[in-house]
Amino acid sequence: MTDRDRPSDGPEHADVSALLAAEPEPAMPADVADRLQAALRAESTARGTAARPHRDVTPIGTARRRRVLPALAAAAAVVAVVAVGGTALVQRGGGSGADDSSAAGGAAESGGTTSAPEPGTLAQPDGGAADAEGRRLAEAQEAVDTGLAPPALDSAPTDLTCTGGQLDATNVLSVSYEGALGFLVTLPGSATTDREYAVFGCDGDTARRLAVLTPTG
Amino acid sequence: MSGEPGDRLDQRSDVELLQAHVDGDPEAFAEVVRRHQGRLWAVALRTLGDREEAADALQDAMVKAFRSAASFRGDAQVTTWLHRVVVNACIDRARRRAVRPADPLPDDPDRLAALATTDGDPATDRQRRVDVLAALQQLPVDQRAALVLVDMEGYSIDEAADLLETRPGTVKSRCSRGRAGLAPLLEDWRNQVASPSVPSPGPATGAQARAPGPSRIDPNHADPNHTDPDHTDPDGTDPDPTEEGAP
Repeated sequence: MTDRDRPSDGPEHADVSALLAAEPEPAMPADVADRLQAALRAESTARGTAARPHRDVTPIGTARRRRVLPALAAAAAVVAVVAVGGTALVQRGGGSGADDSSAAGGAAESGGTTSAPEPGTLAQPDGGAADAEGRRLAEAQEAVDTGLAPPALDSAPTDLTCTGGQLDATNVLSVSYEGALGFLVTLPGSATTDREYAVFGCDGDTARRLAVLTPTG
Repeated sequence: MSGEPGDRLDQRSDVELLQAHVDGDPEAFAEVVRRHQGRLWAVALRTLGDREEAADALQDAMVKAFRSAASFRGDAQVTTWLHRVVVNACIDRARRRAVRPADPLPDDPDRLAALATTDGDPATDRQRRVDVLAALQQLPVDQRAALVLVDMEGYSIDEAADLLETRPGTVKSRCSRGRAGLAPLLEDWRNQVASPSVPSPGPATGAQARAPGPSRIDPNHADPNHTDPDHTDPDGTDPDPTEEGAP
């Protein structure tokens, strides 16, 4: 077994750790700091000219297993004005049942996958619904982009169900999706990504996968 | 909570400032960023190894955080949340760069020297910093991010796992593999480390000798485009072999 294969720390690598720890923090260049503050001023100015775009936001909450929080549905809206800057590959799993999620880990390879979008755009499943699709996904995408997506499930779920309108799964983040309560779930990744994100909705006791968001990379 | 008008921004807590920002204070978020931008910059620079990429990633991350501040749930420190946004932005950017092979990797010694050093550093310190930064860039981004957070920024394994949205075992594995990957690249500097906390001066041959310089680093040693080697565990002893690449 080579050093690179060694799975656990041994004392032989403590010196590497010490070497890294001893590195002083690089100073932020003044021009980078100025540029960052200028960008934030521009955001602030843009916000000031808009009609309360960010104050309409209400916190999203973490849905607990078998926990019924009807009021949460009303409070589940997240950022309403979103500039989805990240590159994402979006697959619409419209109407597919929970069984579809068993293939979520390999969603990129599945037949319904759309082609990769240009950077900074969302894949559009069809031309007519393109804008609406982007809007529907924006909130979940924002949660993914800003690191608010929940930790990944241990494995891709095969038989998700709902109880009382709540998805029976741990580590679920409530989001609004098409005006209704949706559940953002982080799935284990496939061969090409280390994680994927899916939005589920509840139809009675049945969990339906509404969309899959796959970060490129 | 957001404070009365006229309150000094620098007297408010991060959470108070974030709330003030959500309530419409035009200066509050910038103050939060000012407080933490040094460490956030260090994370971005060390993870990406490129000044412009790091600046872009940091700016993108802070704009996203600005827009989504109301989603901050308060179950973590504001600085932890900001770190998470920055780390995600850096990893995403590194992966996008990885699929654009025409883009040069940031391993030019002159560029790295400009990044890693400050005026007045002893020459050996400058060289060591250049070498460390160059060696880091040879690692897969997942290992690099874990090492930056744990070994360089001082986050605990659990905290880093939270930031990276993965399991502590996976972070430990990435750190271990990352250190193992760095070990041969930094061999001469390792030999100069007298104790875990205090590195001794550089190689006896002097900085001009550039003993462990980037030119000695084999770019094929580790493929920076390979973002997730953690699940390849030939002897099955990975502490968390199922975390990634699971079906």
